[in-house]
Amino acid sequence: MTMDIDLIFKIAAIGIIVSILTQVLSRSGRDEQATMTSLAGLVVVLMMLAQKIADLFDLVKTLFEF
Amino acid sequence: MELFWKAAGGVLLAVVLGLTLGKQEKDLEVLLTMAVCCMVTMIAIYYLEPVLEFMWELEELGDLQGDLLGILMKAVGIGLVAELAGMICNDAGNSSLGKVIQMLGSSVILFLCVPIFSQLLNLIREILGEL
Repeated sequence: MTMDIDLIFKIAAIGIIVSILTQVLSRSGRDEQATMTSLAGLVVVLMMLAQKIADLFDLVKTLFEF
Repeated sequence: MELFWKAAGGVLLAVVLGLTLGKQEKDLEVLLTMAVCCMVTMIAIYYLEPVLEFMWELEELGDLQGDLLGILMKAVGIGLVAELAGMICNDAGNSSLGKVIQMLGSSVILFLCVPIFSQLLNLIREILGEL
């Protein structure tokens, strides 16, 4: 059992990069691309997080004997 | 105990990073919160494991009938997950979803407790029948 600090940094880094890209794209008049970038960042983080949530549910199921 | 300090540091770090992210990307802040909640809950469960094993030992020692402790364990697990999901929903600003998942957790726990209530009812009937 380890505390995965890297994941926190990864999510924060993706958030900051997406935020900067969104700002740049929306200021240059490409609002649609800015929205798509924001959506892509969200999907990437969700894919990273899905595994963690599955791990948590598996752990709860195993420990509490479901 | 090392994990506790790491978890506390990670949570504080996530709060600060979440504040930074929340200004521009509110949705990613929610995902960050969710990730940290998952990790910290997993650590909490890791520390709970010996406690639960001790409870199983106590059940063997007390020679409890049926699957009483099993039902109790399942209720705790469902309550934990439902409460966590509800709090995340509340944080994300969707309190109706939070309330619904907590209500679902309560309903499932009640459903699990039906055999216990039946046993209790039978016991009361037996006692009243003997009188």
